[in-house]
Amino acid sequence: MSECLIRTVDKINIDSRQKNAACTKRGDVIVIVDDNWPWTAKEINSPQHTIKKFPGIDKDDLSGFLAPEPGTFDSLGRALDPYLQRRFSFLDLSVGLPARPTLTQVLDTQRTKPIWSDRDP
Amino acid sequence: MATETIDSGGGGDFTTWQAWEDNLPATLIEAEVGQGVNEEISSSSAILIIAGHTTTATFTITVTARAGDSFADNPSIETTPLTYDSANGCALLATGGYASNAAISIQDQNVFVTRLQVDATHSGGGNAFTNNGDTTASPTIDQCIARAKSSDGLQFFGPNTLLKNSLFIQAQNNTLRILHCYNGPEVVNCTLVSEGVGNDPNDAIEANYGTTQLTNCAIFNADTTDIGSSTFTYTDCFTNTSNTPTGCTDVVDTDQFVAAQSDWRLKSGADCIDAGSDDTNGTPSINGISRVSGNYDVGCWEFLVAGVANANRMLLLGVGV
Repeated sequence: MSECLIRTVDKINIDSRQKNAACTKRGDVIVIVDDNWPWTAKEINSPQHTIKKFPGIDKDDLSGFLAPEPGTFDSLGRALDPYLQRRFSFLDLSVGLPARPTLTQVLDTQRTKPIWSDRDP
Repeated sequence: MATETIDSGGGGDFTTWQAWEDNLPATLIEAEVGQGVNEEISSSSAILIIAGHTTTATFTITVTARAGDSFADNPSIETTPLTYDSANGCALLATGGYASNAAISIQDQNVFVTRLQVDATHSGGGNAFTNNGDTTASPTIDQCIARAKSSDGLQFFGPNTLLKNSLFIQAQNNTLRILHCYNGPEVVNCTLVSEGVGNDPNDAIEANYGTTQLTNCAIFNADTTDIGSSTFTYTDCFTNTSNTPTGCTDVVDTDQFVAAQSDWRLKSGADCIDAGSDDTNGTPSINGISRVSGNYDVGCWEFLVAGVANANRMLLLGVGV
């Protein structure tokens, strides 16, 4: 039902702590698409990414993985925390996903299964 | 310069804009260009977030349409209504609410967006462009059509933001503004309008710091031209707002456009024709015309006199049209 492009190594900006926070890290979901997606050779062969299939999960149900770290903004629209991370949640790639993970397994907000992980504060 | 193509059908280098952006090095070592094909990419989540990169004046990030795939390349552009229409070329459509689901979020420096159509249709707060709270990113938007349906839907915060030859449309009635800025941008030969029928937005542009310079801009269907603590300067602008600041001329919208609300091309006899001043940022126009010194039109469009301006278009594109 859905497929994800997932980062496998940290993207690191050594010039700026703020920019580094905005870079995607290992386990971050970059895009979520429908199954049988026509991935290109650059995407399939990227040494920095992997493609995971979620045959039993609709892509809309995974959209939480794309959400940024929630921030607060002042009345003029300025972010009060300049170090917000690109993604609030990520897939723990140190633990293998089952071949056909269920939504419950992936979105395990209670962390009873080690697939879903929230960022450290 | 690295140029890569984004085609959701698999015919390019990447199938999504975000995959392209994520593949860029954190510190650029050359200019990076992502070019979309003639298709509309629609998503309820963010389509493209540009953040986390170290850029320079030379090593820039450009988001554009592939040659021949932009609405600006449409051979029938002179007779096609000027508004967001995915049938006319490469387009990004955000359907979700909140800034985090914007079509294009720009948080890096030295970013250029050209020759694209961008729309956000969520009535509760859709963003076509956002800075996602960053007050330093200062993109250049050139030859784009951008439409949004919220008071923060067209958001540019950096002090060196340059908006030129572009059409900005507020699609929601009775909202706060068309453009929401923080530090004042430079706006050259842009058309700022609302297309809703009924109550207009309160203001055309809000900016709270710095100087907001508007040159050769067409500002229509907002209650007033501006709000905020920024210093606003107007040069050869035309408007129908209730106030008429120095540098603006009060005219009627229906006298300017082929169809105010749905087609923002200038029409024959419009006051905006040949009423602008020379500005190097004001050319070429959104319809690809190299503007002639002393004859700049006001707004993003350059009205063609049959047979004359077509020659300008041929020179610009290098091909017959």
